Amino acid sequence: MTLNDNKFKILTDNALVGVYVIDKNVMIQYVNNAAAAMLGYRPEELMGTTSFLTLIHPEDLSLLSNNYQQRLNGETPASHYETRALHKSGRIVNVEVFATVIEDSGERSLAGTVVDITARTEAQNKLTEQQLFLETMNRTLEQRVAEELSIGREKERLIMQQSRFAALGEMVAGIAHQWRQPLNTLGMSIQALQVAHAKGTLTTEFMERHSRKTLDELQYMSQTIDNFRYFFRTETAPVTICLDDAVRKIVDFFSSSVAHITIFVDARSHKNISGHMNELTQVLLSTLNNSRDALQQRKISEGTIRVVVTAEDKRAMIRIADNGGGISDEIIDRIFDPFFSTRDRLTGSGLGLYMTRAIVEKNMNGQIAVANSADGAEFSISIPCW
Amino acid sequence: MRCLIAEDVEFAREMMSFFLSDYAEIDSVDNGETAVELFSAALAEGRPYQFVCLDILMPQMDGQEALKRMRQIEALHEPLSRQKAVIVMTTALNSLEDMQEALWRGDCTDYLVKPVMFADLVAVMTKYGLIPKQKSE
Repeated sequence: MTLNDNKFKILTDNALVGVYVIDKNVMIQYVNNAAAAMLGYRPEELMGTTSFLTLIHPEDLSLLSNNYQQRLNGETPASHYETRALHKSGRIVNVEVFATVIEDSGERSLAGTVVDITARTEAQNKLTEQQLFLETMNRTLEQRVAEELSIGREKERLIMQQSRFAALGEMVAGIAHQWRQPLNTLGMSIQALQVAHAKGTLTTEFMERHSRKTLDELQYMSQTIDNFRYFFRTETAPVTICLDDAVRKIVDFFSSSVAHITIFVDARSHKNISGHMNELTQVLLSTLNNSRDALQQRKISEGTIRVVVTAEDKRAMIRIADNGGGISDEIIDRIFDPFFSTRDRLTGSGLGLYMTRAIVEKNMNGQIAVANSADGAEFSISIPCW
Repeated sequence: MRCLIAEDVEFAREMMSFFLSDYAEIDSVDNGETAVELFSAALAEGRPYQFVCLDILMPQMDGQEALKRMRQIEALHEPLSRQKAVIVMTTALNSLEDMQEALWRGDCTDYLVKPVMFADLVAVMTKYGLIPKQKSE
């Protein structure tokens, strides 16, 4: 079969892939319709008149002419490569070429097939671009996650720091609250001595009574500080705590600082827990303070707080319920959030219940929840026990 | 002069009575509700209290509520020309909110933070003309 064979020509002219033959002078000897159309030409525009090098992208020229020479010299009989050709309009056409050496009447030429792979190359380029974009995004994302984590840790640290100040503030406020009344008594007692002396009615009995009263008040004030030191002392290692006794003591301590609220305690779990007394104190006092504030803010005339301790298997439950009217639906989901407070800025740090939840969950391995009852709010604290 | 003291801590009540005994005829109660009852009865009898010391934190009815009721009762009983009772609020809480509520909403005459000083009580009585100036000096 030769190039002039009609059947062969019909076959190659109409092949779906481009077919070409280039002579030793790099002139295009033959192109079929597909090859010519690929670059925007008709075959007759190219055959016999055009150097195939004019159809190659300038940047790929040197590589291609080398390959061409090597093949003509018989050094590389066939090759399969991708290159960039130039369309008649000037745009780049990416092509995949399979080229081989043919010999016709003792003369070597190059013949090959060519496929337009512009769409494929563009798709590949797009894919590469997208992969790069994704990689960059991933790196940025990792960086952003790291930054957010760092910001989160810093926030946590600040909150802890503020909560320590808040706890200190609560302690000072607690002492101040418990000292107000005895200070009033002391002040009045001392003035009474002066007034009685001025009136000339200062008897031994009057003197003794006021001395006793003064000393009793001083002792009470000293006891207040001891109590605070006991309940807020820092223990390094967890200790075994008899839950019922501890709850009773803390509630007793709390009761002494609130007037006009009736507090009932029913602690019969007969269980121990492992932990720190100061943490249990902080948890219970914060919760009790919340109930006290609700009762005082709403001026409930017969305010009641009930503290019940029960246990089931290895779980102890402390329930603290008040009759303060409950927590509105709008805020009940937010009361454990940091800096959320319904009290004014002077008295409420908004950290009490947040820290309570943090201590219960992180340090005591427990849970705390709040729900409304018929006439108030009920906090439930569940912690492991034995 | 008639004086009514409403204070839930017994010792404080006793001491206030002791301080004021030279200046007034004293009645003392331990809650806001009884204080309002006595205040109302005294007005009805035509022997009103001129001086009232009201503790803010008290059981049954707190001082703020008692103050409001006393002013309402006073307004019902008295013609405008009649002098209102000097009502002094006392509290252990030195709180801005308490003070504002007592002064602006409850219409109290004055406000004393505990520990209540005898000299301050005398100064208040003098300031509002309940006792002559020389007696306090």
